[in-house]
Amino acid sequence: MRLLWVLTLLIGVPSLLTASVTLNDPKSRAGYISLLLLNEVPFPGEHSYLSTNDSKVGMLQILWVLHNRIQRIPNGYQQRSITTVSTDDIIDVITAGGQRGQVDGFYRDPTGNPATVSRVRDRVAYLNRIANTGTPRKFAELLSYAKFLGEAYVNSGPNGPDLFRDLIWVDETPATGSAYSWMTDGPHYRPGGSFLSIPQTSHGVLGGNRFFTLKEVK
Amino acid sequence: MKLILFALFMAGGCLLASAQSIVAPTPPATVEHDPAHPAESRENLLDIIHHLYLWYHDQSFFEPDSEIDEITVFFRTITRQLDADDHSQFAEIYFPEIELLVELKRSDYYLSEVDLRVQDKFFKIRRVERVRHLPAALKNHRQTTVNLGELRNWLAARAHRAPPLDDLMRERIRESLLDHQREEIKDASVAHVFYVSPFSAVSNEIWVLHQNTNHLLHFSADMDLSDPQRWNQFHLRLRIHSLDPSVVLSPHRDRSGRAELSKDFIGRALFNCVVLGNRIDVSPEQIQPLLNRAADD
Repeated sequence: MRLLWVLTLLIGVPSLLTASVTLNDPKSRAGYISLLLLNEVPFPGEHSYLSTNDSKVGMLQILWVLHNRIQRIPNGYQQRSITTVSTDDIIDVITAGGQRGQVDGFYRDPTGNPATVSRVRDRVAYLNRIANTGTPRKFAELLSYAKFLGEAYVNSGPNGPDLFRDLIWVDETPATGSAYSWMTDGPHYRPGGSFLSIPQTSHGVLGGNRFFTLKEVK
Repeated sequence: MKLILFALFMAGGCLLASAQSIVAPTPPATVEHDPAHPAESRENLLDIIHHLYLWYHDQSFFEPDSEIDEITVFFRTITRQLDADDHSQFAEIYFPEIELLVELKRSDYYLSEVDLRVQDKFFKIRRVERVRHLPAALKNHRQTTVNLGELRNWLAARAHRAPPLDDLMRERIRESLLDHQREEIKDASVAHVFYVSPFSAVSNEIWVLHQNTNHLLHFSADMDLSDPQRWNQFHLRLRIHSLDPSVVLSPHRDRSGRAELSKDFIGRALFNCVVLGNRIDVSPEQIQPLLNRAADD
């Protein structure tokens, strides 16, 4: 019930439209986080696009996954088993595993700086061009929101509720609550292991992605 | 506290409207006469089943010794919370025998930023999910059946192989592939070979095998990919999957929730790309100018 209430609130994610959008430098922490969020959700015209609100809620929950992988490791689990690294730095979580690692296309370059493959940069540059063409509308709204989330995260953490925090059952399996993974929605993507697919009835598909929680470990 | 602050952050009036839309019961399924709707069009329904057969379900379902002789199909129209100016329609089909739930969308909205009408003539497959139980009470669904004999005959008469790509489409795809894969092309002195899966009337996705790099590329959009103009007008979204055996066959691949394709799906995709699809060869002479142009961009 709380979940429904929270989701009901979230559906009205406020518009952050401004005259134009200037994303933060992707070399900055806030800019890199925004780049990731933009890369992971559909924009109008792209497959799985539903609405600006759906893509915004998807961005926020992805941010929660990254945050939970640092701050909310469930009892019985180790951070390394969930993220492959031990860290308190969100950039390490994003770049874990390199170019084809935890987040495809996001890695640290040989000097240790956060980097992305060209298709990520190309897509966001394309979206940015569209957003700044004519009257700001949906593209600008989504870019602005990603920028806002990135900046807010660096200052104080995820700005909005963790929709899955109280999810303690998935079908008949006890769960830890909160999401710890996301991937493109589709039956051929399966994380396996201890991950539980959050069903559609619990709003487990947002922004074109399926979210996963973990089995409770006694 | 965060929740309260967030609520205060809401745009005025939005909250009430959203609450109503979320808790409102799904309206009874009514499909007005619509020859493109799978509830009305046998052809559209069979196209959907064909797509599921190629990409999601196993051959064994259609084997002659199967105990069932017909498939039950439930469908209903569904509502989704859309942007104010979005007139897209949604429907849902459930196949209980194979436990697949298919969400369909017929896009209908305008992207003023790029002056592009996103509009599908037919309902397209938006998402597919395996579900163990019916997603909603049966009273909300219409029901039909498809005789397996009819389906086998239909599949047998169908040309599964993709028709040859016309020159314009071949060129659009070639350019797009090279543009997207330019970082992956380590050796521009050899020909690069791509296999493109067939286009489908009910899907806005295609998969491509890049033989030189052993990558499966997934192109998708919310509009008809078989229209070459779309490849020009819109930057298609691409996801790349490595077929590196050390990844695909790793017994540890499941531990960290990393997004990888299942081995079964890869087998299916390779069949659809290599056997049913079109081959596109790109010569070194064609690669270099495109790479130079991409570098200039």
